[in-house]
Amino acid sequence: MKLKSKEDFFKLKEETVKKRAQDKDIKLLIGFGTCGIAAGAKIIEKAIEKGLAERNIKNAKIVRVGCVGYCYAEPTIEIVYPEGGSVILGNIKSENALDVIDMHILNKSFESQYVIPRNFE
Amino acid sequence: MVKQVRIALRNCGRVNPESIEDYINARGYEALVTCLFDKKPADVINIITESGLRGRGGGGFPTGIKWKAAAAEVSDEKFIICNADEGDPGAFMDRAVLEGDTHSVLEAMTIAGYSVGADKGIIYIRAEYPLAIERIKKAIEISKEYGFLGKNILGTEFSFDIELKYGAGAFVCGEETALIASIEGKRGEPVVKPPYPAQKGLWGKPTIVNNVETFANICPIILNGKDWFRSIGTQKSPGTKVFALAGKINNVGLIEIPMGMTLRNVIDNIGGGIRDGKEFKAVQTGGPSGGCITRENLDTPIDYDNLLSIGSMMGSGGMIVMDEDDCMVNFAKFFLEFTIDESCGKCAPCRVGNKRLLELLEKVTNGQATEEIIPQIEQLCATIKKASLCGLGQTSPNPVLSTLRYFRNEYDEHIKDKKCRSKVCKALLKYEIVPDKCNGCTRCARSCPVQCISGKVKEVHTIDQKACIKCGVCYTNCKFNAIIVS
Amino acid sequence: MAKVIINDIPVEALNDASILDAAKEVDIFIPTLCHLDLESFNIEHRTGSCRVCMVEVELGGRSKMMPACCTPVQDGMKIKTNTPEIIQIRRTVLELLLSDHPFDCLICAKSLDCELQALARQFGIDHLTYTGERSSYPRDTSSNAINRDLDKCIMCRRCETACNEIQTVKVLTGYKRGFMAVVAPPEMKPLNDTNCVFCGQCVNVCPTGALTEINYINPVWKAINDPTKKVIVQTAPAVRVGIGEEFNIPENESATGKLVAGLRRLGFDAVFDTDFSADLTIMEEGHELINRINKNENLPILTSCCPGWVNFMEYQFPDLLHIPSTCKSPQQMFGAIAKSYYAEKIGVSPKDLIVVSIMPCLAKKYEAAKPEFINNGVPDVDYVLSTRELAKMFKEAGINIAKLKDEDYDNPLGESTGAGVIFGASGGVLEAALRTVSEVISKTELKDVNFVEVRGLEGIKEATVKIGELDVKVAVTSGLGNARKILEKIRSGEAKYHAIEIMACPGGCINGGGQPYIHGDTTKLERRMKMIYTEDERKVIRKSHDNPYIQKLYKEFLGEPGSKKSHELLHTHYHKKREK
Repeated sequence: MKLKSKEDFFKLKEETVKKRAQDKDIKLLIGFGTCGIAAGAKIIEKAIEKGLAERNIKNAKIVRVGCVGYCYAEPTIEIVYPEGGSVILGNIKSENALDVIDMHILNKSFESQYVIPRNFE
Repeated sequence: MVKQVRIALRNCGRVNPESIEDYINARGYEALVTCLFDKKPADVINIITESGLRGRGGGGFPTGIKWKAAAAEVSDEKFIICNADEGDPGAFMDRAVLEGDTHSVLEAMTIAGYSVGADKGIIYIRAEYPLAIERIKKAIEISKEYGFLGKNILGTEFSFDIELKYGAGAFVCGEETALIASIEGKRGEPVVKPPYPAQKGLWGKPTIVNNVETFANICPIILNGKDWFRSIGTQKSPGTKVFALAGKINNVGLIEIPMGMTLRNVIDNIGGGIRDGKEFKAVQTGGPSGGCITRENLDTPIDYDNLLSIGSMMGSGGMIVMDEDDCMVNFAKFFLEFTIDESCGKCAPCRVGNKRLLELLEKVTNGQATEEIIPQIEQLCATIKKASLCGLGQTSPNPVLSTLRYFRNEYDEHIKDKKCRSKVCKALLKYEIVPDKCNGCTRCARSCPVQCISGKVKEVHTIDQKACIKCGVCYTNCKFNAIIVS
Repeated sequence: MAKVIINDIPVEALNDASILDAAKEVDIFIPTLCHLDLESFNIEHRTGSCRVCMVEVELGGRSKMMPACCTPVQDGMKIKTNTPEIIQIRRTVLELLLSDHPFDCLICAKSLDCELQALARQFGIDHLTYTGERSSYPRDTSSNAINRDLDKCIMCRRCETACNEIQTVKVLTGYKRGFMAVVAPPEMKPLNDTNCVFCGQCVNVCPTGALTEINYINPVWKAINDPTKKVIVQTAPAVRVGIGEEFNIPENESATGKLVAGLRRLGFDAVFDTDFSADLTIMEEGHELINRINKNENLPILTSCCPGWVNFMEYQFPDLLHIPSTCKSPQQMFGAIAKSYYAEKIGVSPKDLIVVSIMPCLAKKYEAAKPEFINNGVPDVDYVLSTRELAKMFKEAGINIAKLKDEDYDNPLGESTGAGVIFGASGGVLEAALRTVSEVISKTELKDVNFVEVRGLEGIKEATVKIGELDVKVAVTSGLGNARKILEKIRSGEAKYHAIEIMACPGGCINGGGQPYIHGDTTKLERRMKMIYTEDERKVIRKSHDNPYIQKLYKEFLGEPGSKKSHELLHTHYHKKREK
């Protein structure tokens, strides 16, 4: 789709923003920078996918994002709730997947042993 | 609560870098559209100039002025180069931006192209960043599909294309003239400036070389305005700086802080304090070109000029925290070894001078130095600093000079007392067996690689100091803490 | 114009002038090491790598150390060239360079010709503050022409400019990093395994002993003193105008007779002249040219006297191998005639006749050892010494040729014409050919034998010469970079000439890789060139075909130019060389 004018762009933008606003899925942002992958992001992703299937959760979606900067706590997952708010989890291992899903997706808890402090806005 | 402010890293960890929709949803390409349709090239340059943005690669040269110089040149061809040859030990913010927010760099380069009248962009990236390379390639492709790159961008007369060039991992290719030489297929070594790349750069044409992080700041400035940007940071260094926080600190990681934040805040709040409750000793910024910041300057607001005035520099953003276990002489040596490996060897002061400087430091850490060595070191540093050809050489003595300035006592201890208080410099260590604690288990003697420990079973053992190579194997193997290091 | 102040003296300088040049205007001399200005060729090497020329520049309230050789003046600059700080920095830089340099000055081939040594003396350096590990590389003696001792390389990069920019041979590059950095062929290949053409321009510009020639003085001494051998010597045209510099012979005085006298004192059995075989070359090459012009085929003809150029062609222009003249170079013609005609005449077996060449050239060493110039294990030319090596031999033997009375060359291979001597300067071969060819074609005597339009140091010269009814278009190039330009035009069909002279070294043999070092003073080349034409003018006979000994040689031995015998002895063939 080639944009040919300013109007084309803003039309696309509007559509995109609208579509996103309508998206009511919980997002699991997994750090997929080189660092995250090295720390096991791919393994975590698989474990979470498996866990979501096991719990039969349909309203949660994994998004591969870049590095968030929490090197000390890789691999990390940020869980973003459609109604607002998010929580960052660190040092996740594949065996924690179900635990994470239960606490932060089913129960939407903002607290757990996995939560690391967010120190930016 | 002291918090980071994320401008360059605004989308990192927030958007899927491989999704252009994610990017557009996060106001992506809005800045480019604004520039192309509502602003003249000179207006864009004015915004960047007035925002006070300074080069984030380390030098801190005002970005707008660089752009203006290139814009003023009359030429059939101009180039925009994104310097992604990140090479400072421990620094990886460029990789994070390129991997995490790929489109923002492409968008900013296109804006730069529009501003100075260039239609060709080159990302010079280290070949060691395969994931970033893959994502950039994908992003270029999709941007072209959408019409954000390529011929007649968004239906305008303006065309801009971006290609990738791979660096082979030479640190000196981060220096802009060396980088240009490398792109031209020559040996990656700097040439004398002037002429500056903005006048005569790649293939002799006006060229802008900006670092990844600098480009990552462009779109937010266009979107939010110069005043917004100036409201963050300090008067002379507006905005933020990304640092790779490393070393003896709890929360190592990539941080973006407003200029003017004190080091104390960075360490205690953002970094979560020193690891294992040890005592803070110093922070090194600016990588091999920088210097250290000590306790007395913990409350200095971090910006380009302040860091220079206390003998360090901003650099590309390496920030290494040291504690009481780090020997400052050894630390200076570490960076010097790096410089020697990475010097292109073109000019004499850097090629030979740094080697001799390292040899002098080795004398200090080996216990072979006498007191005359300090003035020798100082004079050599002065020559290397003043006479070297490029930034790499001119700044290479900084770690030595700065440790000499703040930790002269540690140098003196090495030289006069032949002691290393942090127990790092092997040649100055002494391993001894405490008779009271030794029960003659023979474990140390059996593990000693040079057989310099003697003693009969169940009798106190002794170390032959002359033969000892200070490897520390006995120390680690002793189960009764009977071996002490001094 | 930019107005600057240097050491409180106001100077007006051209806008792109360097600080170094601006300072010279007011007789302020700033020491340099890596910098090299080959003014006559408009080539300035200013890499700014040695940092010896650092000066303090104040501009706009900011003060900075800058290299004078490559910093252009800017209006308002205040420049200091000799504050104690600057002098200290220069000293330290020199000491650093010396600290990574072998201290074998006493036995170094470049001793007293070394620019690093000269600077150390100028700065009165009598001890080293800094010492430590020294660089060490294998010495490259793989070729029989150029000796590379990289332990002495100071990374001035002049050789790179000579090889890559001037000659476009491109075998040298900065190699390795940091303290290990050095200039070498890629991957540190020995020169013999590269496309090096052995022109020796790198040797000519090297400030230290890193690049020198492979020295054959000892085997020559041995041969001279071997009673079973008859040892003869030939001297190339350009040697006579260079050798005097080594003995302070006044600039305008011919050194030829003293050179001959000196060689005789060294003990050579006969002293002959390559100018003789240069005349012979003109006979053969002229014949070839006339043939090609008459048939109007295979034009232009390219001269083939220069082995550096022949090498270059064999590597880089293998598709043009059919156009050069098939003539051997004068050196090889001499050898071939000496070991046949002359050996027969004096009744010595060729293997007992040793031919030594004194050449302004290093490629000649390579050429003499080419397999095609060796018959049954006997080379046509046994040893090649450069002008510099000969000067060393003289000095070693206690011969100061400046003090000697002029002597004449021996016969029959010592008689030559003015056409032979001008081979030594760029344009000379072509001019000599024109002198003969125009008389042969037009069958009338030339009124003026001077073809001045092909003379001079310019890299590419063109002329059209009327010979009979024909407009003969000729070109002369020197320096392989210039040759490349012409050859590419020939390849593309853009250029149409009848004859082209090509010399590898800029200016021709007067600036050959074996000549006394000029240290960037190209006025010396201008003088050498002037002396070449003075020698020409002093000759009674100035056309090769008028040389009575050449005429005799054809009558007694060769028959006529282009005869079967000539082809056997005086012509060669070219091979495509694989790019390495």
